[in-house]
Amino acid sequence: MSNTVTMTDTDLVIAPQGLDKLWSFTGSLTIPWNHVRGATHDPGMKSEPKGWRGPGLRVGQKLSGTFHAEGERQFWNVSGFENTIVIELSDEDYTRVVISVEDPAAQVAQIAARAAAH
Amino acid sequence: MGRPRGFDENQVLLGAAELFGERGFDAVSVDTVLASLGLSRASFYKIYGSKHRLFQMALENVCHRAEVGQVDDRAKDLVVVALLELAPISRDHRDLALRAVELCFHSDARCIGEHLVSRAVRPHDDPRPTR
Repeated sequence: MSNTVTMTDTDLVIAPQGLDKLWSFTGSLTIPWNHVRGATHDPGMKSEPKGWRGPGLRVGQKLSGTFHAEGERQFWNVSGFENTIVIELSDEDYTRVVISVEDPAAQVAQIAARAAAH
Repeated sequence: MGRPRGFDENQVLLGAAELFGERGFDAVSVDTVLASLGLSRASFYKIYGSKHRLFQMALENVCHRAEVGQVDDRAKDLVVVALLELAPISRDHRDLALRAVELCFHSDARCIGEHLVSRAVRPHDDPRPTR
């Protein structure tokens, strides 16, 4: 899968894998739990406007990097949309992180539990 | 957070309670939530942050209504879904679910069981669209 998600006591850490680090210009994102509003499994992001790209890559159903939509900066690293999760942030450079993960239902449940506790 | 024109939070939370109570939490996609509640995806994420948070706010609304004696089958449906699907994942969800159980079922396990059975056999004349 194109991203690993690590949950420490203090932070949510999202790391693109392999060449996705290159395409997205991002080694990892470290987000304090009190800046994480929640996470949702949402394959319907496929139909959402992606805005303009910069910097990053967009080829078919692969999107990696920073996208600007409706005046907001969003970080995307997805390959296809079936396993897409949306992580909504506050007080961060990105308002939203949209990534593909291995087990979306389990990941959003774990993130929701950690975010609710902070 | 920008609210869409004509946004009525109480109506959205009542609609969410009905949708999740009838269909469950995991089984309902974001697309179904948006179509049912009349929200755009952008507004949904800006206002609620996640599907978990929308569910939690709908359940908090059920608790507030129960405190003034307003408990109906839709409220009870949401409480049993909270017990089955969300309470096991975190202490915060569990605490809220147990508060709702106390308010809507007086913490009576037999009442919860009877409601589960009645929910299972209740006819639905107008099923919501599936995805």
